[in-house]
Amino acid sequence: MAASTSREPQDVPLPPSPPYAHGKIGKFRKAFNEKGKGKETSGGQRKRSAAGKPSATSNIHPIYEDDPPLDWISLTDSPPSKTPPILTQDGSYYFALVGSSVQIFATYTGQLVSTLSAPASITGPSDMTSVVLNPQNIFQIITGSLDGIVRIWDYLDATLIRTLDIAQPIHHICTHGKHQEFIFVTVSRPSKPTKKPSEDASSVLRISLKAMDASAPPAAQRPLDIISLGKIRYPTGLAVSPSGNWLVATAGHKAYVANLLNIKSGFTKYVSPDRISCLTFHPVEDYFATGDVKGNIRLWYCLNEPTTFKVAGLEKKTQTASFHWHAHAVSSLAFTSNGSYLLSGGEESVLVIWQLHSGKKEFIPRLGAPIQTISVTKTLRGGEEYLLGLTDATFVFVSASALKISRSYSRVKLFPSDNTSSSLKSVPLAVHPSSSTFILPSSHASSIQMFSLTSSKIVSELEIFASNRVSRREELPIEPSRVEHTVVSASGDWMASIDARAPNEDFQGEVYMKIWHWEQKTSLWTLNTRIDRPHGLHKVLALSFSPRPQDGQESYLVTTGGDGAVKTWRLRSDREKNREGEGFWTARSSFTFPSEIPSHVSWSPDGSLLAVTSGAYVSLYDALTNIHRTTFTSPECSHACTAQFIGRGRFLAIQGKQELVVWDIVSRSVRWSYTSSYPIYNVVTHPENDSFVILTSAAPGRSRVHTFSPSLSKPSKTTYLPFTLLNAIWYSSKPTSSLSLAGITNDWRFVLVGDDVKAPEKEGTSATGIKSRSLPQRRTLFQDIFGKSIFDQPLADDSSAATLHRPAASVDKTVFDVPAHLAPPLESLFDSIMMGFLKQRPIEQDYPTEEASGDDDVSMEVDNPEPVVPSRSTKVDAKEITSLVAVFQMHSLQTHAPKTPKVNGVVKVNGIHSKPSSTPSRAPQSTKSKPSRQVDVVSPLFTEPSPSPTVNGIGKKRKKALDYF
Amino acid sequence: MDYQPVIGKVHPRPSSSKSTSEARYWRQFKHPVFVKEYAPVTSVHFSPAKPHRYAVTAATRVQLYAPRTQKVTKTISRFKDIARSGYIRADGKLLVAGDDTGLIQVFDINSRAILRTFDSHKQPVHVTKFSLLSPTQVLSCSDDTTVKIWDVPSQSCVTTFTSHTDYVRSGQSSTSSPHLYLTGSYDATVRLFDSRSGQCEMVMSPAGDSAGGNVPVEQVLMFPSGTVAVSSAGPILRVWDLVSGGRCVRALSNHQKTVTALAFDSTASRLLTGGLDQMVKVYDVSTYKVVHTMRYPAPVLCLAVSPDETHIAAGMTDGTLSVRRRNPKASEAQSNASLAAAVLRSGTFETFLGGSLPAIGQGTVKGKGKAVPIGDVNEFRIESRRVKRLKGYDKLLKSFKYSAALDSVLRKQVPPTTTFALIQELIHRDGLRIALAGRDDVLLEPVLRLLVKHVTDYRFGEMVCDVAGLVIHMYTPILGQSPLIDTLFLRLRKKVQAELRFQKDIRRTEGALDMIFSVVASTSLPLR
Repeated sequence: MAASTSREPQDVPLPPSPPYAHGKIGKFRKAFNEKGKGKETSGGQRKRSAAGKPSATSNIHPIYEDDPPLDWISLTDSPPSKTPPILTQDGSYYFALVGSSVQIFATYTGQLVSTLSAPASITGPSDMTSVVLNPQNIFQIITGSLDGIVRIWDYLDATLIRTLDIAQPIHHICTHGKHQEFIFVTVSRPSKPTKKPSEDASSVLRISLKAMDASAPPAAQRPLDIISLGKIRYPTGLAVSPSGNWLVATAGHKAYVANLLNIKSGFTKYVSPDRISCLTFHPVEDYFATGDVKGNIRLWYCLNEPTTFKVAGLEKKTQTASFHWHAHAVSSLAFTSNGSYLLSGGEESVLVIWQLHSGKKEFIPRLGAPIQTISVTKTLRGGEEYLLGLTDATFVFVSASALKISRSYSRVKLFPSDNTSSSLKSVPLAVHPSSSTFILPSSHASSIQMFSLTSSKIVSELEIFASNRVSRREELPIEPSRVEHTVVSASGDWMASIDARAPNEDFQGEVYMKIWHWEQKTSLWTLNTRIDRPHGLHKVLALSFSPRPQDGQESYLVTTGGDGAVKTWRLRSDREKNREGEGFWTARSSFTFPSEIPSHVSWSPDGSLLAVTSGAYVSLYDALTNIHRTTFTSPECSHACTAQFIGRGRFLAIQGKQELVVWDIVSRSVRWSYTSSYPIYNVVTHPENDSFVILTSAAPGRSRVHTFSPSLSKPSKTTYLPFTLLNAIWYSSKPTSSLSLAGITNDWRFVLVGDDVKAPEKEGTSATGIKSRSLPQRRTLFQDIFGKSIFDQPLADDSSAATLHRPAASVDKTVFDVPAHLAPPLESLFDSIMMGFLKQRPIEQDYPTEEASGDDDVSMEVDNPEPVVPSRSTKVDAKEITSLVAVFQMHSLQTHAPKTPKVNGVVKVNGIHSKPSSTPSRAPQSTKSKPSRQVDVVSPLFTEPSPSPTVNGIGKKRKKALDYF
Repeated sequence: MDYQPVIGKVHPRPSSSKSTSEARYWRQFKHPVFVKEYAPVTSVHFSPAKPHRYAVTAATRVQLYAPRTQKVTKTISRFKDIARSGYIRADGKLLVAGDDTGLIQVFDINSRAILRTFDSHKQPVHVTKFSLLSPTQVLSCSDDTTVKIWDVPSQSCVTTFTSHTDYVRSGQSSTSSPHLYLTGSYDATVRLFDSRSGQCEMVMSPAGDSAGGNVPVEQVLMFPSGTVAVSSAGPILRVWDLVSGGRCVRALSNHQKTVTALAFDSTASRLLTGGLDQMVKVYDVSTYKVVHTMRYPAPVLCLAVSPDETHIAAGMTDGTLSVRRRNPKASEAQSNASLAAAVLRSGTFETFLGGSLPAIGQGTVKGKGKAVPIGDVNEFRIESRRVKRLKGYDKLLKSFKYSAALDSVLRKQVPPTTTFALIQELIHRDGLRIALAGRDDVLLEPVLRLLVKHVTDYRFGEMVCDVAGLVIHMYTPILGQSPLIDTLFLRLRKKVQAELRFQKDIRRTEGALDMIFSVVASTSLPLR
C-alpha cells in the first residue's frame, strides 16, 4: 500500500532562502550521522569496544594513538525514525526503524522481539529511512537506507534475502500490489561532486526488485532496471493510490502526480499555499491528503480530473478541501482502514480524529510528547487501534472504540536533545542503591525517569514539577521548569531535587527544592517537603546529602546558592505523630560569604567536615557547628571549581580550570599538583577506595580519562572517550577498584563507562526468528470470566527480576575502624558480621511472574503440589532440614495437614504470599504526593492488558481465596 | 496524563498572635461600646449575681448599667465629692462606695436608699469592698494609711490596720479565709492582715531591690485559691506565693507604663492587666506569657470581666467607658446548663451511682443520621467514587480561554492565592499577555484593583510587580482616555512609592541596629 513518510519538517527550509538554509542543515545532519556511525549502536545495547574504530578519528587527533580507548555502552536508543512503523498483515508485530536497524515489536506486549541490523559496510552502518512490506510476499520487508541500499528481509527467519545497491541515498519507498516487481523510491541526486548529496535535488525512481545478475555475490547486486519518473526538490512523501494508477510525491510546496499507466508522461504539479510536510492516500478512493507546515490538512481530488491540457512541468492549482485545527506543522496523517476518518498529529501532542463527511473532530489530548508518526492497526479481536510514535521513542496505542490510550511502551525515554543549549550546565543524574535504579532526566525537562539496570527498563517516571504541557504559541518554545539537580541520600530514603524555571524579560523565575521520600512498600518516590526559593531568586549551585550517618547523628542536606549562602537542612520529625518516616525538612543553619559565591560543596566521608569551594579558596567547615576550620589556597590553582574528599577523607582534590591540586588535610600541605593540557571538566571519586578520575575535554566532543591515586602525581591510567560527559557519577556495581562510571554525554545519551562494562542482557536485541515464538494467546471469554488456565501458563523464566529491589545487605564495617584493643571480642562479632555478608534467603519472596500478571491469581490460590518453576539442583543444608522438620511437625499435629509446596528449594508456608503491594511496577498512584505524578510505565511482563484489575481488587480477591483453604 | 488543575500556593504564615486560638477567643470581644462620662472612670465592678449589671464610678456618682443594652439603669449620686470604688455585694442587692471626703455609704441597689454610712476615715477612701466570705463586712482602704473592717449591721468599725505608712490604694478580702485581707500601698509594700490578731501577718515588698523598692503598689489581686496573689507596682507585675511566706515567684514587665488594673477571667485561668500605656494584656497564668493584647484609646484606669465572660469593661482617664461584648456560643450555654445540672445533682443519690446512669430522668434524643444497613459479609459493596469537578477557571484554562479564566478569578470572593496561582499558570503557559490583551477600561479595572490591593503583600508583591510591568507596557498608549484607569494607575504609583519609603526606613533601622549589635558584640567579647 501507500507508504508515506514525512521527512524532518524542520529540515525543510523556510521559503525565502531555501538552498542556503537547507544546505546548512543538511550538512549538519550529515556530520551528526557520521559521528553516530562510528559509535552508535543500533540496538543501543550492544557492547562496543573502540578497538574497531574507524581510523578517521585518530587521524584528526593523533594524541589518542597513545591512549587506549575506554569501553563504553550507550543505554539510550538513537532517535526514532520519522517513518511510521508498519505492521504485519495480521497486526501482531510492528516494525520500527531505529538508526541503522529495524526493530520488531510484538503489538500485544510492546516487547522488542527481534532486531534486524544492516551488516556493517566499509563506511559503517547508515540510517535506514524507509520500510515497507514486500508486495510479493507479506512475510518479507523491504528497507531503504541512506547509503543507497535496498534490502529485502525475511522477518520470520530474520534473514537478509537480497541486497540491491542503488548508490543514491534513499529517502522514501512505496510499493503497490499491482506493481509487484517494482518499488518506487525517492533518492537524492548526486549534484555537484564538491557538494554532498543532499535532499534538495531529488528524483523519483522506479526500481525493479530483480537483480541484474542473479549469480552475483549477494552483497552488492544491481537492480535489473531503474527508470526515473522525474525530478523533485525537497521530497517529503511518496505514495501510490489504492488503485495503483497514480503515484504522488510531495516536495516543497508542490504535489507531484504521475500516472503509472503512462510512465513516460511525467509529473503533473499541483501547488499548495504552504509547504507540505506529510502525505497519505485514502485507502479506497483516489484522493490523497497532505498536511502542511502551517497546520492545514488538504484533501486533493485532482487525480481523475479531465486531463485536457496536460503539459508536463506545468504547475496547476486545483480544488481542495481543507481542515484546519493544528497550530503547528502536521507531522503525520493516516486514514482509518474504512476511509471515513482521518487522523492527524503534530507538535501539540494531540491526536485529532476528523470525521471526513461532516468535518467534525475529536481529540485525544495530552499524549505526553509530540506525535511523530501515526499508523492504524487491527487488533486480534477485530477492532482497530491507532499506533502513535512519539518523539521520545514511546509507542502509544489508542483504542479506536474507546478513544482512550490503551497502553504505551517506552524504553529509556529520550532526553530533550533539541534544547540543550540553555541547560547544558546541570543535568540530573543519581543512583538509588536500594532499588538499584538510575535517576535520569526524562523527555520532558520537568520530569525524571528511573532506569533499572538489572531489568534494563524504565521502572517509573516522576514529574518533579507537575505542569500542563501546552504547546508553544510563538516561535519560541515555552520555557519549562527544568530539573537541575537530583541527589539521593546515602540511606536511599531521601531524594532532593532542584527544579527551576529560568526568568525571562517579563517575569521572574522560580526555584523549588523538593525532597522526596522513598516508599518501600510501593517502591515510589513521594513528595515530602517543598521549599520555595531555597536561595532566593538565585540558582542553587550545588547540593549534597551528608554521608551515611553514624549512630545518633542526623542526616543533613547542604545547599549552596548564587546568593552566596551555604545552607544546611535537617529532617524534623513530628513528635506528636511519632511514626516512622514522618517528618519534614527544615532549614537548620545558613552562613554566607560576603564576596565570594560558593560554587561547590562536598562532605567528608565521615560527615564531620564540609568543603566549600568559592572562588580561589576551598574552606573547610565543621558540619555541626559551622565553625571555619581552615582554608586552602595555592598558587597553582587560581580558580577552584570543585573540591572533593578522596577515599577515607584524608586527601582533598581541588579541581581548577586545568589544574588539579591534592591536599593532605592532616598536614595542611599540598601533596601534589597536576596540570592538564586540556580543561578539566569533571572529577569523580571512587566511593570506597582512594582512586579518582578526572575528565578533560581534549577537543570538542572528545575527552580523556585519567585515573589517579593520591600517592602518585601521575595518572596511573589514561584512556579516552569519544564524547564529553555533562554529568558523571561513580556507579560501582561491585566494590572493585575498576572504573565504572555512569554519565550523560554532551549529545544526551546515557552511557556506562568502565573497564569491564557489561550491557544488561536483553531479549530481542539481536536478529531472532519470530516464527518459533508462540503468538500470544487470544483471550477467550472463558478466561475473561475465570482467569487464565494454569495449564497453559508460561514457565517462569524471569528469575533475574527476583533480584530487583532487594536492598543491598549492609555490613557495618565501622567496627573495624577502631584499634584492635578497643574492638569487641571476635566471638561476639562473628554472628552479626557473618549475617551481614550472607544474604537472607527471601522466604516470602514470590516469583514476579506470578505477581505481576494480574490474571494469575486463580492459579496461585490452588494449592499446587507440583512446582511451577522447574526445580533446580539445590543443596539442602542442615538448617533447612531442621526448619522443614519443624514445619512438618507443626502441621502434622493439626487435623488437616496441607502439603507444603516447595518451590525452588524454598519452603513456602502455606497461604503466605508476599503482599501485593511489593510488586514493583503495579503500585497505585500514591495518595500522599498531591503535586507529583508518578507515571507508571507499563511493564512488558503483562502478557495481556487485563480489563481493569486494580491492586486493591487483587488484594481483596486474594484474601477471600484464603478463606477457602 | 491528565489535566493539572491550578493549585493555590500555601504561604507560610508568621506565627503571630493573630492565628492562635487564644487570640481568636479574645478577638470575639467585639463591638466596643463607648460611654462618655464627665470625669475619669475610676472603678468598674460587675455584679456577681445575674443579670450581671455593672457599677461604674465616675466623678461624684455611681451608675449601674444593664449588660444587654449598655444603658444606665440606676444612678446613685449621693456623694459630695468624687466617688470611689462602687462595689456590688455577691447577692447583687447592696452596693458600697466611698468618696474623697472619707465617707463610705452602703446603698440598696433597687431603691438607691442609703442604708449605712461609715464616716471615720479622714482622707479619701479609694477602696471599699464587701468581704467575699462574710458578706456582712466591708473592707475600706484610705489615704490616711489605715485599713478598716466594718460590720454592716451594727454600722461600726470592727478592726483597724495601721501598718501601712503611705496611702493604701488597693485591697481585697481573702478568697479562702474570712479573716484575711490583702492590701497594697504607696509605701511599696503589699501586706496581708489578719482580723483575728489585728496585725499585719505578712509583708511583701521587692526587698533588696533598690530600683524597685520605692515604687508604689497600684493594684493587688488574689487568686480564688487564696494562695497566690498578684500585685502591680509601676509597670512591673509581681506574683507572690502566700503559702511560702510571701515569696515573689515571678516578676513580669510587659507594659510600658504603670499597670493600673488587674482582673481575672471567670475561671481565673487568664489574667488581664490594664495600664496607662493604653494597653490591656492577657496572660496565661500557667506560664505568665502574654497571649493577647488589646489596645484602648486612652490610659486604662480600671478593668473588669463579667462573671459569664461575655463582657470586658474598661474605664479610662478621659472619662470613657469601653465595653466589649462577645456573643456566647449556643454550645457554651448548653455546657453551662449541663454543668449547672451536674452541680444540682451533686450530693444526691444519683452521683453515688457514678457514671452508670448518666442521664437518668433526662430523656434521650436519637441521632438524626440514617441507620446504616448491615449487609452480608461477603457482599461486595461498590464504593461510589466522587469525581473531582474542575473549578470554573480550570475549565476555561483547559479550553485555552485565558482571558475568561483570568476574569473569573478577578471576582471579589476568589481568594488572592487562587488568583495569583492562576496568573502563575498563565505565565507558565506563556499566556498572560493574551489574557491581558484587548481590555477596555471596564475590564481593565479589576486587574488594576487587584494590583493596587496586593502590591505590598509579601506573598504576591513580586508577581504583582511583574504583572504591573506588563500591564503598564501594554496599556501606556491608552493613558489619559479613561479617568478611572488613570486614577488606578496613580494609586498604584502612590502605593509603590509609599512602600519604597517604608522599605528604606526599615533598611535604615536595620543598619542602625546592626551597628549597635556589632558594637555590643565587640565590647562584650573577651579580648585575647
